[in-house]
Amino acid sequence: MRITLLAISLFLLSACTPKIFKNMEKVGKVNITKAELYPIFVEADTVQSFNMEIDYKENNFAGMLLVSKGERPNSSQLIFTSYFGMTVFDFEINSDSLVVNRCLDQMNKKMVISTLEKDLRTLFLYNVPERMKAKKYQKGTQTGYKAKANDGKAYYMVDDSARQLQKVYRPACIKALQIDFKQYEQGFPSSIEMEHPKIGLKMKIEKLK
Amino acid sequence: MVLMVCFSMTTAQNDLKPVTDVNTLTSKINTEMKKVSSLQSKFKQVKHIATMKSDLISNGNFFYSKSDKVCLEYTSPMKYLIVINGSKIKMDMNGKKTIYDVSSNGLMQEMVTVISSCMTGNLKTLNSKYKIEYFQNEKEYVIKVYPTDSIVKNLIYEVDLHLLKSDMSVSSMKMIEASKNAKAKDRDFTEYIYTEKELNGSIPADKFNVQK
Repeated sequence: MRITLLAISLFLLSACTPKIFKNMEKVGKVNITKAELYPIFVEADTVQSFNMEIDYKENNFAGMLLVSKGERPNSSQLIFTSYFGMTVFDFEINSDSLVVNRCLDQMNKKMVISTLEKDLRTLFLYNVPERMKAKKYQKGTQTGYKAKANDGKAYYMVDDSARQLQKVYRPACIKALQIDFKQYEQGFPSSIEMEHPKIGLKMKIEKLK
Repeated sequence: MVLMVCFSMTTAQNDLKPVTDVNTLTSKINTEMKKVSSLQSKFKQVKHIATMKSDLISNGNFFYSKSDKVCLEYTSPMKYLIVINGSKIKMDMNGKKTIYDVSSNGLMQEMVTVISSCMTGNLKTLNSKYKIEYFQNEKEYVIKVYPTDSIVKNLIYEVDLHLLKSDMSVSSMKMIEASKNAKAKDRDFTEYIYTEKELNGSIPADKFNVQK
């Protein structure tokens, strides 16, 4: 009887712990600031360039992603061009909206734009308020936060000793998103992998030196 | 000094005069094209985005083999390979190869045709879906290619091809993108500038390999 209860309790406990925080210990409810998630994109006057690869099922497409300060306050401009030179999209995003300056007609579909909008807002942490309540998980130097961002649930994994954002997970029935920030060099991940496992969409961003 | 440079550049652009004897010029281009079995050069790709302050520069090696094989070997800022061989396109990034057969995709096929034709100066392959205008200045012929097909017009506004009068080789190709409601100066464009050209040299066949 005791063993059964223990097993049930363990099952319930593990069911409550998000998969991303597996093996981490629940600490409790805390108030956190956006800065504690160590955002990687901070507003700067320079243009950052990345190689971006998009894999959708069997298809692969690569090009250059440029990130710069947008014209509106607290916004970023993102331009994706094919290596051939054609501009695929030119967006300006902030915490409230995404402005499409330019987008190839083939891609300019409501579902595609809304998926990209949510992904980019998550990547830039535009959906994170300056202060929010979160459930904290801990293991060694790794800290997990389960929080309610402005646009829904979000899980963040950070390394406090290195002051690095490591993972973001957005749960959803179909469009669940996981972002992995890998191999930091001079305070910036050399590779960012964004994946929607259920729809077979993967985007990889690598900083160009 | 800067003003002088700006002035001379403007003058060079404004210097363009329509070619009056188009038939003679097109037959001259066709005659010269017949003599070219292969071409290799360095290229600089300038990507201009109207909403950005500075242009993006890429560099690489260009290879062409008659009549429908093109290879763009990007060396900076990223190593990247684009091969067009007939109806197939191969893209290779760090050994990750993607191959497309554009024969079933009308728009892609059209894009490949117009880009590869203009890159190599092989305008004969352009069909009635394009309006072509011929201009010249002291040193160059400038050929402006305008798509008339509504689908292609959504992507490309104009392609400018510059041919050197001295040897009729392509010195640059500028692809101006279509953009709804954009004024001419606000359009994004990509320009390929060719240097160190070598005509009819030997190019290894595997440069145009479109297998995985």
